[in-house]
Amino acid sequence: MRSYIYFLFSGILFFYACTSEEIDRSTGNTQSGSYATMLTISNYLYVVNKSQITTFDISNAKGPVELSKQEVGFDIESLYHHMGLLLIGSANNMYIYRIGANGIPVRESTTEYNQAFGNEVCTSDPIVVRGNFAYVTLSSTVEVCRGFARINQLRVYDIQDFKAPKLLTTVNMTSPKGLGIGKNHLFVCDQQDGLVVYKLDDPAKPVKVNNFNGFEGFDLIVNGQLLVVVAKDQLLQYDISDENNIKYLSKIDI
Amino acid sequence: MVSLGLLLFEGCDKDHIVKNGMRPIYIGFEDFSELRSGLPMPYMSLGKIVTSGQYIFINEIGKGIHVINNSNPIFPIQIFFWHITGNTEFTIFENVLYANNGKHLLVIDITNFDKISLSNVIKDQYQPETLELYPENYAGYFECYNSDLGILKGWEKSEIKNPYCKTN
Repeated sequence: MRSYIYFLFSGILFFYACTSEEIDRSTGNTQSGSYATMLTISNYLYVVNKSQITTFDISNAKGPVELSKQEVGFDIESLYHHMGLLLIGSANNMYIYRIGANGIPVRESTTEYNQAFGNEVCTSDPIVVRGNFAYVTLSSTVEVCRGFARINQLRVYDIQDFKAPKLLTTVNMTSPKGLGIGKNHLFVCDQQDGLVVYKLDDPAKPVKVNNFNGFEGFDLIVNGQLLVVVAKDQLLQYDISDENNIKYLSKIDI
Repeated sequence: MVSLGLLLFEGCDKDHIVKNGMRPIYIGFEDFSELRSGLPMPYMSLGKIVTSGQYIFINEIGKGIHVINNSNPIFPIQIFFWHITGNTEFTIFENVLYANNGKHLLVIDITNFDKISLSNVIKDQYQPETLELYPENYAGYFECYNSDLGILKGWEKSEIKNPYCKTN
């Protein structure tokens, strides 16, 4: 019944929105989920495909000009920006690039995730950073990685020296996906467990404090006081103005 | 769970084996005629997410982008669906949407959310996926998807000669 009422209301508002001339089209302050593969930073557009990073000058937004194309590695899945660094997640490595004065990234380091297992572990891994700490999820599922060993972990790396990241902590999870950082908490989507919340009193040692389940969590965006979560077939939002008392706000699941 | 299997030729004394099954419907990587802003669509298989201003944009894998007005997060409203066949990756800068179609990078003017238009195409930025794509919720023979022939738009019933792919 509740979802029915909700549906009715959203229908009414939808028509209202469509007939209104007052839609505020101002965009700006664009934020991407942790599985992003395209980012704009000042007047540059960075695009990763499965194996390369390409830099475009977008001084003219509608007419990007390619400045450089570089080989990175294999099975790239994510691109993250932190303070002039680009962190690229691939199935087996975390690559750190520094953006040069000309906008073109320069590789500073390659960190292999699975040295102990050789290259036989199939994982996927977005990255987020706060301060000197990079948080990475590694997940492998039977569907994608038949025959390979399985790893499902949250990892913390010290990247103060971004030429030589150091693994600090490994936390086992069920099937971790996208992630994001609030004021003092790390939010991690999990395909099995929904949304898992870790406290970062010690940024090197995330401590699990909360869990919202009932959906297949995929990725999220921390947008000020708002946590926007994408699951397989729904969009969920939470009020995180008090991270110790997270409040569910809404979902769209139609 | 769907598993893909190679079919060995059955009855080798015939030139062709014809089976009822499904075949891919293709749209060319250079065919942008279906790019448009339309009515909101249901969520099927969601992918990448971007927020910008009061809006949330979510990829519907291979189909396009859901546009949500989130000026009241207690009451987010789906306002448009942008049809971009083959799309899985995107970002937004000012009034421009950068989006892939599996092979090319499309530059799309979104000044008017209800009337998006293609500004530019930056060719060959992606290697078309060689992933094994198969019809969902279907068990039986199908013609294998071939990325050389274009973007997979959907599946249709068909007679298939010498079927090579099958879902169980």
